[in-house]
Amino acid sequence: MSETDIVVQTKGLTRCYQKFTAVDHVDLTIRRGEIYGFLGPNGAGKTTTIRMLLGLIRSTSGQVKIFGESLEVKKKEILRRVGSLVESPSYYGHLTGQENLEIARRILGVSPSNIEHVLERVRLTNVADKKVKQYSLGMKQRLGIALALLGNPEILILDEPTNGLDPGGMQEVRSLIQELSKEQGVTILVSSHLLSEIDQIAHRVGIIRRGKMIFQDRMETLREMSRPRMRLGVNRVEEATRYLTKIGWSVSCEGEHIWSEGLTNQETATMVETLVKGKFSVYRIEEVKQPLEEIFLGLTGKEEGL
Amino acid sequence: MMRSFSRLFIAEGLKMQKKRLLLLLLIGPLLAILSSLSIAGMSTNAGENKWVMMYTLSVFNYGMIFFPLIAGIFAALLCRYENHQGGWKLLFTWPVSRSVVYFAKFSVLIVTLAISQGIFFLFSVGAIVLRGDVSQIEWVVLGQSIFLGWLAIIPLAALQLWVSFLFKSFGIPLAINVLFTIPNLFAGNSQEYGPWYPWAQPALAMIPQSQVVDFKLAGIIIGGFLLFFIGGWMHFNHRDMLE
Ligand SMILES: Nc1ncnc2c1ncn2[C@@H]1O[C@H](COP(=O)(O)OP(=O)(O)O)[C@@H](O)[C@H]1O
Ligand SMILES: [Mg+2]
Repeated sequence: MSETDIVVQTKGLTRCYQKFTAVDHVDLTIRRGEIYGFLGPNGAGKTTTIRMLLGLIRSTSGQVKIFGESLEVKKKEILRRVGSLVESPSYYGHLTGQENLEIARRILGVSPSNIEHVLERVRLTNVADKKVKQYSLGMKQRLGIALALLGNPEILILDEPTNGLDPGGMQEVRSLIQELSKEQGVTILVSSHLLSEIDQIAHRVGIIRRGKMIFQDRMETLREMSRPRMRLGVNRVEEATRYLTKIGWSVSCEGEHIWSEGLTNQETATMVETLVKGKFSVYRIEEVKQPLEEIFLGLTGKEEGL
Repeated sequence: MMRSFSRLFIAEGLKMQKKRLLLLLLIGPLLAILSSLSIAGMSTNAGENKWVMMYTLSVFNYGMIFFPLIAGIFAALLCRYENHQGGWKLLFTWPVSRSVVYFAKFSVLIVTLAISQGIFFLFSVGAIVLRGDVSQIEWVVLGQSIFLGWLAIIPLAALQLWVSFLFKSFGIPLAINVLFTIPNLFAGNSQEYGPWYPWAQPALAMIPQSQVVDFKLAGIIIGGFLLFFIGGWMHFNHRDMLE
């Protein structure tokens, strides 16, 4: 990966509220064209990080570079190439969807045809003349995305864009994100507190917990962490575990089962043979894949809840 | 810079609910003049300068009460949509500098107040015509009064814009404005304190007079303007957008 492929980069990004550190030395890297999933439980610091990426709030320390330029120095030029939707969508409720877009269009100085285009993209064309305060939450969210898309951004930053939507609405937003990535090559940062939201669409993920980035890598790498484990049902399970451990097997006893990780077929056969020779009865052998969700919860801590 | 300013100025215009606002602008001058007409109608000692007496009565009603209230209401309206529906973060993630957003809002506000002055001027002339005193009107004195009143409300406009940006609620800046308009009726009449009181300055500046400009009042108004305009502007530029 060359330097120019990195479009967003933060170094030691930190934000404190009085004594509380909401974002703590976050190094975030987003590459051109990818969908970057920004994951973390509620209150982890996702929105605070995103606000700093957009210059809505100041960082306490650290720096933000977008398109290789410092945000502080080139804010206006950078923002021209970035579209965003932060937390709940913003809109002028007393105006229609069309009028909202018209205001944005004038400020951005883009062609009127962009309005038709983004309205179609988010499928709001038929309600464009309705006042936004009459829109459903999903429609407001889609208008927010339309506003973000209006200036043909190279980077799209979406903070929990599916929050509060019904499953259908969530699916719609996910498909939209994938379309934009595939068809227009837009780089997308999408945050969520739900792994399932990111799992299917992200190329890379960053996981933030209590303000600290605790994982940042390819989605594949996260998936590999959910490697399968072997579960054996045997009689006298505790005795059997001790027996195996004594002769060098790496196993553990949880409940009524013996658990082992990363066994090859041959190793599995040998283990069963060993148990049978030791006069234990093997009832069943199962391969159990740990759901990704549990890996995520393991990383972020279950107690934080979702 | 100029381009983003005009774009933002137009955008502010698009956001406004113009019919309602025009109605709001008509009420103040109308009430002020109707009440002075009724008072002036009762008085019988009509001298040479009947129009001045009648106009001065209107100036007190309008300049001391309605004009400052209008400034506060419009300042609050200009921040209302941003304060309520997360519009600040929408505005500030577009490629515009915060300063330009501030200048655009401030400009819309003072243009609105100029329109209010225009309406007051038309109504005043209308009332004088109605009473048949039109030949007496000294147009220079009248024009100066209208123009100076507009200049004198600019510090208050800057202050109210600042307050409206400061509070998320629509009611608070209005309540503050009403609260400070009430003592106007007393402070405004005081030679000593009146000129120092931003809510009284428009009325004081509007009292028709043929002599030269009151330098003390002018100085205070310019100082107040710089204080409130620069203060509000700096605050606007540096504030974290957390809502
Ligand atoms: N204005 C604020 N003042 C004090 N604390 C705040 C403020 N905004 C956010 N926080 C705190 O910072 C932490 C991170 O918040 P946020 O970035 O909104 O999390 P997320 O978006 O991941 O849910 C939370 O613990 C929150 O309570
Ligand atoms: Mg958040």
